[in-house]
Amino acid sequence: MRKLALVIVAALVSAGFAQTIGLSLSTLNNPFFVEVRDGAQQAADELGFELIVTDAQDSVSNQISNIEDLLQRGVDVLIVNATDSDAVVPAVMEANSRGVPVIAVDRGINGGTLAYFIASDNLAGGRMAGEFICERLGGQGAVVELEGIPGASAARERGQGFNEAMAACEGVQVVARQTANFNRAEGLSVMENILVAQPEIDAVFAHNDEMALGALQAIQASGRDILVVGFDATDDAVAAVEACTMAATVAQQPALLGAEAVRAAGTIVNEGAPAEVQNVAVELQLVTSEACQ
Amino acid sequence: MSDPATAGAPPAPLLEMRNVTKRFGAFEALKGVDFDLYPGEVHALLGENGAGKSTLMKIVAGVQPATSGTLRVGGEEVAFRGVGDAQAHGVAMVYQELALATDLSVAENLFLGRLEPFVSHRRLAERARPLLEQVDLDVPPLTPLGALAVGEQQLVEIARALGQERRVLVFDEPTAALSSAETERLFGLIRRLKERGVGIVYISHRLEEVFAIADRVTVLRDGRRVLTAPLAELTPDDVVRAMVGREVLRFQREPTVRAAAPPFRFEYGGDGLAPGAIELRPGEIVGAAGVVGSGRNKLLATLFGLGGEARLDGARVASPADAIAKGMFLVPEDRKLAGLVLDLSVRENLTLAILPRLVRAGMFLDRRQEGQEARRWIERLHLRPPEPEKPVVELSGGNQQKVVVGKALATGPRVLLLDEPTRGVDVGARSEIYRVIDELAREGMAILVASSDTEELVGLADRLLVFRHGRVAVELTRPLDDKEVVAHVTGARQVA
Amino acid sequence: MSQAPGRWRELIARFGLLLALVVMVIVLASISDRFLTTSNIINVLRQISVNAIIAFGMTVVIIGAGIDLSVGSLLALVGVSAALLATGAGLPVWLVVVIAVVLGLLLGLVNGLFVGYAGVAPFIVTLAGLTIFRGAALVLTDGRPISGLPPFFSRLGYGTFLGLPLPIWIMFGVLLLTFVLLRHTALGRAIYAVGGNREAARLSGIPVRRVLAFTYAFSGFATAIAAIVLTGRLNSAQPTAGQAFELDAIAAVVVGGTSLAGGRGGVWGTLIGALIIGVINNGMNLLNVSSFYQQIVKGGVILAALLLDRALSRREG
Repeated sequence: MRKLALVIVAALVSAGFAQTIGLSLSTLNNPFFVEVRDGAQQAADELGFELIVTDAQDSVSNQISNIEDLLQRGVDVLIVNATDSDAVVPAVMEANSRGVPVIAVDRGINGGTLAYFIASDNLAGGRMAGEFICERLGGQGAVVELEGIPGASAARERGQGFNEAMAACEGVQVVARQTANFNRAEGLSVMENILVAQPEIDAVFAHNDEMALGALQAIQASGRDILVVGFDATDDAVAAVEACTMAATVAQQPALLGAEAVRAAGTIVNEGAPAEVQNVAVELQLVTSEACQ
Repeated sequence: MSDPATAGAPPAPLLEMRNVTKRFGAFEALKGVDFDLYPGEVHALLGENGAGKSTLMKIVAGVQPATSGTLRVGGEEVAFRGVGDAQAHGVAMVYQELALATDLSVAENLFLGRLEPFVSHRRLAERARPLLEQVDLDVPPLTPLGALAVGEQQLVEIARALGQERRVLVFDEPTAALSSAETERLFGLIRRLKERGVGIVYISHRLEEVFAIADRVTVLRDGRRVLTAPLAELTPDDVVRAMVGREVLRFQREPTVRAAAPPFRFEYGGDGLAPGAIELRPGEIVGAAGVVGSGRNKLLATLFGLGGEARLDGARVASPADAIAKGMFLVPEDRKLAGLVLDLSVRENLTLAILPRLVRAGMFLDRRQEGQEARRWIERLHLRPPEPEKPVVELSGGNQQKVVVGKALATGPRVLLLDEPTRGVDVGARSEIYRVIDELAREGMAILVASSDTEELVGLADRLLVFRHGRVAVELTRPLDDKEVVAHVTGARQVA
Repeated sequence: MSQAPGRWRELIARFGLLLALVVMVIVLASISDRFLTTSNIINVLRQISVNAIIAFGMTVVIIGAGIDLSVGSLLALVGVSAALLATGAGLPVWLVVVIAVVLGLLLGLVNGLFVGYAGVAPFIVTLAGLTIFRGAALVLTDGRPISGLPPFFSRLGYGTFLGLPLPIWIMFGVLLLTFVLLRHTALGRAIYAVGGNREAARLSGIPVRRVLAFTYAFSGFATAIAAIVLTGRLNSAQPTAGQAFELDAIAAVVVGGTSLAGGRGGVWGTLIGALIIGVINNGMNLLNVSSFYQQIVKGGVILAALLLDRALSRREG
């Protein structure tokens, strides 16, 4: 009898007031996070949640006020894609003190209590790219690495994975390692400069597709034959792979990241938050084209 | 050494400079100058622009060190490391160029640089009041400084110099922005300071002031001292001769023969000016006299479309550009603030108001014609040095003023409005400016001059409008008499 | 005291800067044998073209005592607009280019009207422009880059004329245009006058508001040209393009000796400023300097160049 009443109340509550989930994104000024949002939205629609999305425009202070706003609006679960892994800690603790479970997505958070951490395995992705290049070059050649924003965790992890693979691949040398700040225009000019400096280049690994596409422009203009591998599998990059101008791109699955985060929120709503943080590693895949080899 | 002005046994000098030189690179601004100042003495320091007056006094005030020579204050040999150091020795300077923050209140300006971290506005105002009383300035201490007239701001600057116990005060052209009434107030203040035993150095271009207030005079020429003597033993001509090394007569213009052409009829009003009308005839010079705030400067601004409401022969003057199109031009009071673009060259400043005339093919400047135009005015105004490409910022005050006048004349105005045309200008440049104004009137230009310098107005004007409280109180015609003008300006003689 | 006429005086003042550039070139040439090759010199010129074109427009604004912070966002907005028109609407390419340039000019003019006629501080007006234009670019594209452009764009980005890449020709074209504007037209003189002393300019009958509005329109125009060049170079347009470009442009202008207070400076100095920044970037890539040190080196070299310039120009009087 009591159980029945509870079920009825729960049904009424969920019908009258759909569960609300807050998603604080670091930026929407990047197609990757736009896809995170789209995936999250789709999952939320399927599960019948209301999803409120905020955009911090890559600013830590914006994000902190965004999170405060979401908490004010009484979200049931908070999903945070941190602009900075340390700076958002106070906002997360604020959520903890209000009893709102927090899920970190894509970027880790170095404090407070997290229920879930959902991220692509960047380290594995970098390693995947390195192994692919090693194999395609037949274990022999010169490689250029275009790095992301210095100090950013994605840049660190992708670079680390890639360099582990390079270390294991004895005949292949990394001859230049320069930052292009995850930016296409910089990818272009930095690659142009490296092309001047390095007479022998067999492959380029860029920490994201934007830089890879910029580098591709420079390489095509130089007329040299160089393997380009990017990261993120954006539409442009996938098209370039299909056109055989890029060799490969590591597909993070941003939509899946967003969806997994909302599904984890669903689990919390139904079963409560886990006792300690659960890491969910979202798979990466290497996108290549069979037709091009 | 002649006796100091004060009575009794010869006291020790407050300030003693011996064989002071100052070099800027290869240029020797001071060539071994001696100067002294006794307690209770007003010592005038005269000389044309560039003679070394300001350089000498900047050494006294600690703005810059001497290259060689000695400086004693109260018998103690000193070498000031900065303005603060000089002030600690009781030496301060009142600058000609206002060095104040117009957005801060009067009280805040008075204590600028000496503000304690936490002071209430009320307390500050209380501390400001006695200082303002000393200079007879009756304004609420919390008024923003910018709301005051230029003359009143100058008084605040003076009050600030009085802020602490002073033994030596240097006034650099203190009356440049003051009306006659304000000048009288300043003189009263100087006399009181004298009685307290303060030594005062008084720099001025106005001889009548010097003779009115000073005890002794030192004249510098080309970095050398050419004269030091009690004023009682000198005539104005002696002093002028020492300054310029030649005879300069007081300017007195012959009245121009009136052209038969019809007059320009102006109607004006608003912005603190009572509605009124004036007529200016071609070839006529009309003066506008009055104390600061009387409306004499506002009249010029209004006629030029800078506020209020003005009509020329019935047509509204909407803006300065419109006024220029109607054949007027204004030479503003403050040349650095409103007359010149200091970054540009002499040529570029001279042609600034006639750019549309120098345009070829719709937009391109005709550089040759521009050069001709610039050289023409450089020659006519005897600009020194006669170099069109010199940045105007490197010219002396008098030559800068000539550039402002030249820019106005280049437009070929039918009506020329001159606001304080010789403020802060040395004697030589002043007489050249008078000569040009006279020539222009002879050529048929109608000229309206607003000035706080009575001698200037009397020398130039055919007709004089005396302003009080925003309206013309009286109109005087030739022959004009200095004393009578002053009496009207100061309100000593009211005309019913 | 030398009595050099204006042009010489300017050259002398710029001499220090040129010397700084020459010193950098010599140092880099002695470390890397790849640096002083024809292909790398062309490479550097091509790389600075976008920043230099924006900076030329910025020079005009700064001489008028203003600042334009919106250029980076405007670059993105014009770029994606052109790309959308060229791909989606299927307009002929010449018309796309004309529309893009007019769009840049008009949006710049909007900035200028606020500054000139509404009297709002340039910093604020163009800061608002910075966020509004960026937002508009994101809205138009839903945050995604636009590719698949007609071949015109890559020809523009990579084609050559008389052996020099087209972006370099375009850069020199805008340089010449800006130089003629500033030094040989009445409007240019008016810009210096308004920047140097607004009140004196007004009393001389110069239409101050119109002149101010024009400077921002010109900056928008230059930025639109830069946007088309960048779109050509990347053969695509990103709504995220041009972030912080305003800072690079301002750096080029200021390193080039134009006073932020207005009224002083010129466009040749800006070219040298852009070259100094470009040579630093190129040199560090050639020498494979670690990315962590690059930012320190860049800031240090800019400061050193400025100090050298100030020291020399003071001695010249």
